Amino acid sequence: MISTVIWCLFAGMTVMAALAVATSKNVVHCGFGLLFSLLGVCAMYVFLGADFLAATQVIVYVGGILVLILFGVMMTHRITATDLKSELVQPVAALIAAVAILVLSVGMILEQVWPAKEHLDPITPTTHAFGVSFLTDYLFPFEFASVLLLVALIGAAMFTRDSAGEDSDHV
Amino acid sequence: MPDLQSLGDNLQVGLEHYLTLSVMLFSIGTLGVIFRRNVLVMFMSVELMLTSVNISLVAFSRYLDDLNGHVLVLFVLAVAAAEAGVGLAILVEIFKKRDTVDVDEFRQLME
Amino acid sequence: MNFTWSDAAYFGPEAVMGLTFLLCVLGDLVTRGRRHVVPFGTLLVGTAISLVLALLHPPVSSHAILGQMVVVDGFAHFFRLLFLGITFVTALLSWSSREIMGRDREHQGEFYALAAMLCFGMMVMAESADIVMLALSLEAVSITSYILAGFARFSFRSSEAALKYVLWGAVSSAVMLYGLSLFYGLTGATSYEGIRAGLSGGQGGMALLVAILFVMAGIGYKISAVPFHFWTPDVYEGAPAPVAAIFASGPKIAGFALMIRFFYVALVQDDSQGTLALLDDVQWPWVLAIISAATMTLGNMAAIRQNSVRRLLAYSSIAHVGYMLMGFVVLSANGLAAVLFYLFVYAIMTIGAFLVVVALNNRVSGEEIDDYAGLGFREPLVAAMMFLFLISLTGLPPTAGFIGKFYLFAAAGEAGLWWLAILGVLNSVVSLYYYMRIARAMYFTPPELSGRVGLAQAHLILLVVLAVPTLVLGVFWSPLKEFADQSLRMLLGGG
Repeated sequence: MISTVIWCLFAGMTVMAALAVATSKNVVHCGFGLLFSLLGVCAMYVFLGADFLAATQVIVYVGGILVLILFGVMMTHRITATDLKSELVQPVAALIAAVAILVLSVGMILEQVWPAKEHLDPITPTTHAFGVSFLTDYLFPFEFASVLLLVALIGAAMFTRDSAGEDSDHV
Repeated sequence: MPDLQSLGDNLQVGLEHYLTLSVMLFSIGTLGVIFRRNVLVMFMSVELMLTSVNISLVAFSRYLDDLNGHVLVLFVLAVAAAEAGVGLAILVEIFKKRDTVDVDEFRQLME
Repeated sequence: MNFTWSDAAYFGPEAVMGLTFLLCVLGDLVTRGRRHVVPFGTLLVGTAISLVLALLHPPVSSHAILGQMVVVDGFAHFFRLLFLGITFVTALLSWSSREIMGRDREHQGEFYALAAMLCFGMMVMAESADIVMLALSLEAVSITSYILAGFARFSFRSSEAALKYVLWGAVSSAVMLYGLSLFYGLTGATSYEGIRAGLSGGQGGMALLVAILFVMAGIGYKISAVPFHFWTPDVYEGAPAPVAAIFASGPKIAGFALMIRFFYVALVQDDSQGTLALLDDVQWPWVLAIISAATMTLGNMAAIRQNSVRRLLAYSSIAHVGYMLMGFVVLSANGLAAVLFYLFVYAIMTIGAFLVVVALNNRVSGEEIDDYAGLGFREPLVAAMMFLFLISLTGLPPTAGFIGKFYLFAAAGEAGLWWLAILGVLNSVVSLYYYMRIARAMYFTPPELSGRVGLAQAHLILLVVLAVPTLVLGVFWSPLKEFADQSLRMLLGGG
C-alpha cells in the first residue's frame, strides 16, 4: 500500500513537472521542470528494477539538463526570435495530430492485451548482464554508437569553434 | 523500513500504469514542441518524448522479463545526447551570428 | 555469443568505410586541417577499396552477422554499390565546388570525414535486421546530415535550415522510437524476424496500428514524404549545393532501403502462391497509397511556383518520393524491383541535375531560373546535359527515367491501383511544365552576357559520366532490371 502511494507521488511529480516544461513562460522554470520530471522517471526505473539505468539517468540527463538551463539563462531572450515554425505546420492541424495521438494511445492502452507476465520475477541487479550483452550480442551496436557520438562531437566542435577568418583578425 | 525489494513486490501498479504515464509524457512533449516558440523549450519537450519512450521500454522489459529493452534504452540515451549536442551547437552558432550581425549594423550606423 | 571474426569477411566494405571515416578525421588532425587533399584522398581511396571489396565478394546467400544485428544479402549488396557510387561522385564534385572549397576552407577535412560516415551509416541502414540497429543507423545518418546541412557556416540561412532540420528530426526520431518500443512490447523481440514471429501470433490491434504509424512518421521524415516534407526545400536551399546533391540522393535512398527491409521482413509474409500478404488486417497499403498520391501531387504543385532552380529540384525530389512509394505500396516483388530500379536511376539523374547547379554556382551569381538564360548558347555541353537530366526526371523516352517510371506505373496498375498510376502519369505531365521552364530559359531566352561561362574541367567530366548511364539505361535497361530482381530474391525468398 505504502509503496503504491510513493509510486503515485513520483508519477504525479513526473507529470506535473512535465506540464511545467510545456507551459511555463520562464525558460529557467522549464529547465527545472525537466529536471524534476527526469528525476521522477528515474524513480520509475527504480520501481521497475532498472538499477543501472536509474544511475545512468541521473548522471547523463541531470548533467545534461544543468547545461541546458545554463544555455537558457544565457541566451534565450535573443533566440526566441528565431522562427522555426514552417508555414506548413499549422497549429490547428498539429493540434488535431496531437489529439489523434492521445486518442489512439489511450485506446491502445485500454484495448490492447500485452504479452506481459502475470507473476513477476524478483528484481535482480542488471549491471552484470549489461556488461555481458554489450560485449557479446550488442558489441557492434555498442561500437557503432561510439562512432555516432564521435560524429556528434566533431559536429558540435565544428559549429562552436570560431572560424579561422575570425581568428586571423584577432592575431 | 521496507527495502527496495519489498517495495517492488508490494506495488499495486501494473504495466498499464507505466504505459499511461509514458503516453502522458509523450503527449505533453508533443504539445510542447508544437505550441512553444522557444527553441530551448522545444528541445526540452523532445527530451520528454524520448524519456517517455524509455519508460515504456523499461516497463515492457520488466513485464516481459527480458533485458534487451534495457539495452535499447541505453542506445536511446546515447542518441538523445548526440542530438541535443548537435542541436545546441547549431543554436550557439546562430546566436553568435545574430550577435555579429547586430554588431555590424551597429558599426554601419556609427559611420 | 554469435559474434565471430569470420563475420568480418561479409562486412568488409562497411568496415572499410568506418575505418575511412576515422582515418579522414585523423588525417585532418595530423595535417592541422591545412592539407585538404589528405582527407579527400583518404575518402576516395577508402571508397574505392570498399567498392572493390563489394564487387569481389557479392553475397551469394543471406548472412545474419555481428550478433544478428545486420544482414548481408543481395538487397544490401545493391544498396552498398549505390551508396559507394554516390559517395565517390559527390566527393569528386565537392572538390571543385566553391561552397565547400571557398570561403570556409578550414572545414573541408570534416566534410570528407562526414561523407565517409554518411556512407557507412547508409550502408548499415540498408542492412539492419534489428530495431536497435535500425534506430542507431538512422540516427547516425541523421546526425551526420544535420551537421552537413549547417555546413555553410558563413550563411545564416544555412544555420537556420540546419536548426529546423535537427529539431524536427529529433521530434520525428522520438516518434519513431516510440513506435519501435511498441513493437518491442507487443512481441518481446527486437529483431525483425522475432517481431514477425511475435506478430503472427495475432498480437495485432490498436497498438500495432499506432506502432506502424509512428515508425512510418519517422521514416517519412527521412525520405521527405508528405506531411513530413516541410524541411526539404529550406535545407536543400540552405546547405551547400554539393550537400544538397548528397541529401537528395543518399539518405533518401537509405530511408527507402530501411523501410523496405523493415516492412517486408517484419510485417509482410509470403504466402505459398508467391504473393505477399499482410500479417494483420491493418490497411496500411491504403494509408501508403494516399501518402504516395499526396506526396507526388503536393511536391509537383509546389515545384511549379518556384523560381529558384534549387528549390524547384527540392520539390521535384519530393514528387519523386511519391512516385517511388507507389512501387512500395503494391506488396509485390515487381513493385519493389521497380522501386530499386528507380532509386538507382533517380540517384544518377538527380545528382546530375544538382551537379549542374554546383558547377554553375561557382560562376553564375544566382540560382534563379532566369540566371540560366542563354546557357544553351554559352555552354552548349552543360545545357545539353541539363536538358537530358530534366527529360529523364520528367520521365520521357529515351532516358532511364522513362523506363523507371514505366515499371513503377506498371506495378501499380498490375496491383489494381489504376487510380494511383493515372495520377502518377498526370503528375509527370505537370512536372514537364516546370522542368521545361528551365529548358526554355536555357535555349529560348537570349543571354545577358555572352561568352563561355568557364566551368571546372572536373565538373564537365563528371557530367558526362552521369549523362552516359542516364541515356544508356534508357535503351539497355534489362541488365539493371535483372540486377534489381536478383537483389530482391534473397530478401523476399528468405522471409
